[in-house]
Amino acid sequence: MDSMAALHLENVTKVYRKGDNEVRALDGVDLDIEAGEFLTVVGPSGSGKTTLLNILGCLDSPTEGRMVYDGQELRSLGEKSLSAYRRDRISFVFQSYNLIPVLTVRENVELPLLIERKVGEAELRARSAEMIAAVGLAGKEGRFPRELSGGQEQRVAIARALVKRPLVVLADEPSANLDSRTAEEIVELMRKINAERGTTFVFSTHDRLVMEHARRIVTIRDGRVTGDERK
Amino acid sequence: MGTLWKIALRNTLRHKRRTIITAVVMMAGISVFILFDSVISGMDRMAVDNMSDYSLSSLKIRTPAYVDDLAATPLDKSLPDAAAALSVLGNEGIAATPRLRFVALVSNYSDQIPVIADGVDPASDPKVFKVASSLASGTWLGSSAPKSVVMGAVLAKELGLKAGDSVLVSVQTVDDVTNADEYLIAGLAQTPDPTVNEAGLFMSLDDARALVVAPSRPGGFATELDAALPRAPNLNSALAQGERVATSLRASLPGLRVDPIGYLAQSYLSVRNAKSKYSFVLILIVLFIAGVGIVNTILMSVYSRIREIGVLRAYGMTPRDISRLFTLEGLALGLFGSVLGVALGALFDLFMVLKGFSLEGYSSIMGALPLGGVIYGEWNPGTMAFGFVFGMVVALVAARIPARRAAKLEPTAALRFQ
Repeated sequence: MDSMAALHLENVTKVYRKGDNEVRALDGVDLDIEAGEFLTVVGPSGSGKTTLLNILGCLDSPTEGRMVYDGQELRSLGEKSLSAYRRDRISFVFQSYNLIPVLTVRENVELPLLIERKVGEAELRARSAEMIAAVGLAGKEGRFPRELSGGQEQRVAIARALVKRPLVVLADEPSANLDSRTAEEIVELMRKINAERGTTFVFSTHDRLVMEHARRIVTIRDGRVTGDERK
Repeated sequence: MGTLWKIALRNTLRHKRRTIITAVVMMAGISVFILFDSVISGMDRMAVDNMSDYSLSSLKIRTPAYVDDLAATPLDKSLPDAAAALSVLGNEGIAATPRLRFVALVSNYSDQIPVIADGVDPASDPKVFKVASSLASGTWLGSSAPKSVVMGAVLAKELGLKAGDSVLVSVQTVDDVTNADEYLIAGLAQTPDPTVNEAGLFMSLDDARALVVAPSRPGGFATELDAALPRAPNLNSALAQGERVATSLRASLPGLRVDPIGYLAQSYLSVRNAKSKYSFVLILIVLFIAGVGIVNTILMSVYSRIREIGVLRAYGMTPRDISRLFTLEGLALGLFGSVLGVALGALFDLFMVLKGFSLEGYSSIMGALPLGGVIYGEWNPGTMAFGFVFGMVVALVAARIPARRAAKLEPTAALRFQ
């Protein structure tokens, strides 16, 4: 185990209680993710992929185990500190895009920077314009999500995820709602950003296309890591 | 905060129907409150003005002993020197008139009715009271018709009398001896003050003094001086003006009581204060309904945007920010409703202030209240400010309930929500 890795999980266990029953969604997961990796988590439904992503994204805390991100132990942090950590280091791309419907493309992309409150107006505009151009949506800044196609919405979601230059982007089934051609474009785009900027991407997916592009595939079954294949 | 406002405002505008329904309820509550307050204030103003104009005057000067024994209208406790007191008022530029008040029995030679009669100065009385200009028939008192009276139209009707008929008036004199005389009915008074119509009897001071066998006295025999003050913009300033002038006159009239309209009409005004509380309860009920509407609207907004809340939490918004976002939505709704409510209320108010509402045909409902003619609204910016602030406070309090619920949502549960 390498506790100096970008993301380091050590013996992470997550237990949910449903009435009298206990569900072990994760059971002693050890995982190191280096900066700049393009990693896919695969496994059948209910295997613990989403729970793992939620814990990697600090949206949920483990019942047991250690989490060290970028050299910082996170297990003991309270909700407010976890919110701050998420805000500063982690971004998300969701299966159903989850853009804010009342905000334009530009405003959606700027949202993480506005929540972060670290950059001035000029840099905010420059960074959002750069990311919108990078995902191929220049000229569509003033449109609302309802005026975009599914593929375009996912591009906006990717621009939103990258604009704050996060340590890691967590993508939960990002191609699930897209046709195969658009899915290919989206995965290519993320692969390109990963190569050019060194941003770490972690996907959960069932999509063979995404798996083909991944340089590392972590297989999870019944809450345990059962495979870790590097290409 | 700018982004939160932007999201809140756009969401409010996005769900137009929900926003309009909630804003309309608030608007109705606030505008009805403003209208209600305007009409109630206008009615109070009219009632107090009518009492001042037809029976009480704006300010009365009497002896303390007379006021202590007011119910008996004691003639032996009348003003020691009415002319001197009149001259003090004259020096202050205040229009005033003497009156001699006494208990009398009015008879048509078959039936008799007890009344409180007034001996008045026919020349100066119309400068303080409006009875002279409110005659249903006949004329006001004058030197051309000695030994005449003006009586309330309802009183005359009860006795089957009309202008030109004769009437017998009997009294207990100053020396407590019964005296009576016959008078010609010069005119019948029909005023907005029912006490004048039902029990008013007016004769000249000279006739009254002769009837009660008043002893000669420096300045003439009068039980009270009645004064008129300039018209104030609203009831509260009229009451304040009366108190101010009375305080100033008390120093110049030692040994006499100076009572402004606020004291003279105190029984009516205490009812008025109770009415103000009812109007407050009215706005409370209507805005409570609006508050329930706001809770409902924002709860619907929370439930329709649970995944959005999850995204915002995932991107680092704290529960406090989420709560603030929905609270701002409530405030935006409150702002729409309150601004529209105050605007509509101001329009209602403007109509009532300029055009008024005629009470003709409602006299049976008004009963003993001194109301009649056209009732005008009172312009009250304080009520509008209160309505606006109260609307905003209701919106804020109502929005806190769903806002706190939104803030408590776990991000993972919110993101899973279908």
